[in-house]
Amino acid sequence: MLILFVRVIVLYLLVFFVIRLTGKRQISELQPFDLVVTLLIADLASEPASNTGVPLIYGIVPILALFLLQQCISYLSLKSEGVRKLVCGQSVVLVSRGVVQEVALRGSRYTLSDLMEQLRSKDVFELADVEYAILETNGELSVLLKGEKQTPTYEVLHLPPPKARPPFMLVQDGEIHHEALAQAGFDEKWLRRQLARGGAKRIEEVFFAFLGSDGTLHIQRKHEYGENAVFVSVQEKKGGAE
Amino acid sequence: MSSSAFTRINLVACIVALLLLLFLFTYPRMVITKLSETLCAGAEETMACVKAGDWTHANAATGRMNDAFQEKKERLKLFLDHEDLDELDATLMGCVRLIEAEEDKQVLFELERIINMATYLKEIEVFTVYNLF
Repeated sequence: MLILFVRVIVLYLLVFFVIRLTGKRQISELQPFDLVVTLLIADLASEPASNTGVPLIYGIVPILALFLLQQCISYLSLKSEGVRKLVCGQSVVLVSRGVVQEVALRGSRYTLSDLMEQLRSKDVFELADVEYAILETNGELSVLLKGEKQTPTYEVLHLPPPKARPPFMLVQDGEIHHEALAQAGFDEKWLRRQLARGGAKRIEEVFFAFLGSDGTLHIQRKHEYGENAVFVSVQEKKGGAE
Repeated sequence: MSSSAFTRINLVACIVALLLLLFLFTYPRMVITKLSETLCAGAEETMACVKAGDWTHANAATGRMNDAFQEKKERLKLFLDHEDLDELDATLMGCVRLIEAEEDKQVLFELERIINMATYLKEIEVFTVYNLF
């Protein structure tokens, strides 16, 4: 049993490093050849992991071979447009200038229902709203709405855009996130003062304190301290904030 | 390969994987080929002794064969199916017992099996079209 345990650890580490080195993409974003490699690796590791009669090498050699193959194909894809097309395929325009491309749809083994389903997942419920729909090589559908259906930007509306800055989780479960606090440009003294403004006298009382990109500090106290949500507006000042 | 297209860690991993694979393509085959030849030669020598009724020499030849196998058995478990090795081990041990009991007909059959098994272990590591499919 201990042998099985250790074998699984060895194979897990190998598969982990191989998958890690092949890229960070999620299953849904994998290119076809990446998906094949991932599925094969998982299958190849399972037999030597569960059967002590099979040498680990029988799992290791094919996994390493797949890894090398995948790296070679990735490298060639980066270098050559032809190889990239061969390996990843090409994106297909399914809707062009508001017209559904029937031939392209059939060629991609896509039914009209599939197209509608994908559009709904993009919050598009009317086919008439779509100017372009492109089936990407990873199976995702990119949608460009007709001009009048597109969301206007601040630029188009001639409005001042909000200051773009990332949100920060400053306190979580009674613990200060010092790194996030420093990145936001504040210190602990400031945080305690803001929390006091929100009604939290001690850090331990706070379930979370979240600084939004609009400069609002969202404070929620723990259940035993009332569980109320308070929004404190943080005033900016020169070189930092108040 | 330029480092811009391929990260350094990927390059190192590829080189390590390649070296490991090259080692695995050559070393196990060398060990298995050598052992297979030893076993086949030992089995043929034992067969000749058994046919001549020389049980003392047959015993010594089988002992050498068994020692050569036992010496490499654990190492071979890294590369070969454990069931195949256990089967060969059991056949060798059976041979030793049969020679001690001077069972000539059964011994010849078991020695033939050892030759077949040793040849099989060597052959499966040979890169041929038939092995490929």
